[in-house]
Amino acid sequence: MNISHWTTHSLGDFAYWVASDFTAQIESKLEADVISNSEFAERLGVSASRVSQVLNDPGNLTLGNTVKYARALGMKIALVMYNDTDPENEKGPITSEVFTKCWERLGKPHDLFDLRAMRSNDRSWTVYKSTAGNVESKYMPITVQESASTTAQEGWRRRA
Amino acid sequence: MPPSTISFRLVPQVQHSSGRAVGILEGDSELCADMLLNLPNKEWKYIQYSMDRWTSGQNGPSTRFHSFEGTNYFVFKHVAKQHRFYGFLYHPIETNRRSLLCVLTTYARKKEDATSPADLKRVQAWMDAPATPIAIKYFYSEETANKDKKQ
Repeated sequence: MNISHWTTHSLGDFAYWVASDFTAQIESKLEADVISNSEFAERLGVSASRVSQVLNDPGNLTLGNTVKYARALGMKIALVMYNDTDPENEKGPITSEVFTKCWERLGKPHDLFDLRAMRSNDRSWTVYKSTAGNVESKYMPITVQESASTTAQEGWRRRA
Repeated sequence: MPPSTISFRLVPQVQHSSGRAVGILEGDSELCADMLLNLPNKEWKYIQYSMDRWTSGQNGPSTRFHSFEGTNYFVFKHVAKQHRFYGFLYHPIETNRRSLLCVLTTYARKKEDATSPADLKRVQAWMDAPATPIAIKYFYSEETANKDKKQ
């Protein structure tokens, strides 16, 4: 039995999934930081019932409001378009936390220069993190595995 | 609980990953989780997203689904619409303990947040029913046979 994912039915269904994926992140953050709906509503300047309404029916979420909600929790937001070699969307979308976890694993690069500083060796990926504010703009290794060709000391690299 | 001809199937159109899947046990008047297939469209979509989320490997938020500490009970819920779908977690493939199935058995419509022990008792009865693992095993053997045919 091979039935396509429910978000293939319409663009509206796909949009509903993406909006739900966003509100689920909000709910998870509220739970993790022990913030009540009413406290969150206060930060947003709306009623608690409005917050519940959005979390329970995210279908009408606007881009402006997603930014507003994320910022009220001290977070930022990105819209990511990706190609997962499933153009007909038979497998369904990929949850945003997958992208977030990948980004965190790479040491939270802030730009493509940070990302390019990541280099591979024969045994593992070595990740370098920009030392913000450092005049010499060095990269600091945050996960370095010893191999025949790479040691933590060698891992220091100056920005070109 | 009398033995009956019960069957198992995966919830249609929901993502089933290599690690997790959600299914429904059917075929007895006490098995009412298939009610989720008759939900109004918006409410069904809310639950479908929650299932996608769980099968993708996430364990929250608990406002949408959660397990019950120290047990194998599990619930998907839509609090605003008062829907609860109870079931239990099960390893369908004996040789792969990382593969986890949520087997839904019981539907409850309720306002209060606390879970009724009666609902969990109903889940427990189906967890213990000898017909349950047979139905699940049968489903997976059919699946494997169908895959083999396609190849």
